[in-house]
Amino acid sequence: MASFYDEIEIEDFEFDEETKTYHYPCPCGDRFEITIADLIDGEDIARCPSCSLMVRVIYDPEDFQENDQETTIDLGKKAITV
Amino acid sequence: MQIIQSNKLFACGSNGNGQLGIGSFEDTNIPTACKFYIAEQLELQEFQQLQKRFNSSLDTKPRVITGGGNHSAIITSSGELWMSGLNFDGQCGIASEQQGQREPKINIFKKVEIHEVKRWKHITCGWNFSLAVEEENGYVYSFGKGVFGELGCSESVKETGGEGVRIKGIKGVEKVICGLRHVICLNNEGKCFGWGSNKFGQLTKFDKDNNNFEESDKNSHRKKKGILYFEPIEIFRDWDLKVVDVACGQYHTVLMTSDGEVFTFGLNKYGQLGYDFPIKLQFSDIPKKIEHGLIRRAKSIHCGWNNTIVICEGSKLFIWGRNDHGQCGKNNPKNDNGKINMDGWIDKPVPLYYLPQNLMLGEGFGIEECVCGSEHTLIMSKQGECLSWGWNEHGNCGIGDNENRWQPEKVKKVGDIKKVGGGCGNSWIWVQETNESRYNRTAK
Repeated sequence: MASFYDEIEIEDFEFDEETKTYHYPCPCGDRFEITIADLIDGEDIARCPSCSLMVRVIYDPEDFQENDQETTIDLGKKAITV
Repeated sequence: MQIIQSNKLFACGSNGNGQLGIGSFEDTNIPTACKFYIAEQLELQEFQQLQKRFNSSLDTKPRVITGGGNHSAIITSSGELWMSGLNFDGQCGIASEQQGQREPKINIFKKVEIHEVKRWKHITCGWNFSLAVEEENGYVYSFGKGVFGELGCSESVKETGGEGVRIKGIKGVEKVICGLRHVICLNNEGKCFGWGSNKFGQLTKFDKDNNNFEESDKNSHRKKKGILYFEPIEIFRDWDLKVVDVACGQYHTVLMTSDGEVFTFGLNKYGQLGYDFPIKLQFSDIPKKIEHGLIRRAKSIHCGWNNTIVICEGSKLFIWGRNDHGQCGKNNPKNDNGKINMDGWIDKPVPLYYLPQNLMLGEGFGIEECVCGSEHTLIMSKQGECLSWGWNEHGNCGIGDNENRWQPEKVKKVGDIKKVGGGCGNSWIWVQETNESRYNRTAK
């Protein structure tokens, strides 16, 4: 039986710009993680690297692809400045 | 490096960032002695002097022992503050010797020094932040990072760096308590102030919140976003309550009045409010009294992330909330067929008890202290015994293995346990006298 520790809205996650990863606190002290790429692929399970717990991410796929395009553009800009 | 290994303070559980303060980054399921950093390099005589002073300061029961997301804190009886664990955002309040650089994580306790503070009286550790109360004026200092307003400084301050920042506008604070993203403090006039996230009404209801709800698009998921408070606001003013203690879960809050009545508000996703089931009541921003025939004259209140505990006269313990890892200290009924059980048990969204359960601890177990970690609980008797139960994946119950506990079980005894602390998947115990030292003393 797949059981989730929790179901969390994407707005409650924090976003790490560098690793393009969303994360949310796990009760063990580590963080549930899911990357933007995972979310675009339709993946909705964020896992904790330090324990067995996982959460389901609640998000609107449409909202998300919009964000993703913006992110890609941002990345492009950064690449140019480097 | 000159370090002292304590023979009084022990820790077990999740330790990926050194938050146990035992000198390693490995988890342990057996209470293990904590270590304290004294100095880099001192003459032997000077070190021995400091060692003696430190040992005697830990001989008396510490004021506070507590853990946060990845860090922990202890305030000694003499008001010294020591912290260990993740310091990436400055949550341990440890600035490095080299200016501008701070140690990202430390696995031994280090002393927190703030120039204008002589002694500390209380501290709460949150996810990436700590809030400590100094003794003289009851000022609160923030350490670490809090993007949801947890630092209480202003919207422009989301990180404090290695140095602490004093929160303006509040003084005379006795105690500060935090949930995952909200903070509440009590001052010496009986007033309460709160800040941080109010997404689920965990700071009660404000006019500002109402406006926000009306303005937002009702069909959008954003309407639930709620408001973040970056500075302290007085709370409970609209309710005629004489609040004497507050406990915070992940997203809910419990308060106790001078008459020993208990009120709850905030998220009820796991029945943590204790009076209605989650499908009917998802959250509430109005403090509501727990009306339960046996819950009278409460002595103390405690919260895990998704559980609530009330201890009443005569060492009666009531517990409710999430129970998918044994957090309520009792098994789930079988063959439920998804129906609500008379006991207030329901298996959706996870197994939980949304009504108070009287947990029996055994004949003559006089409760001295209770602390909740994120998903486990420790309870200590007047006789120095300690029981624990709940989620134990990291060995945080201190029993010697990593199996979840569905019933209270004895913590491995390293001595006369007289104080306990809990964090995210970890526990600390302070013993008055270890088994070893008692053995040595009686052998003489």
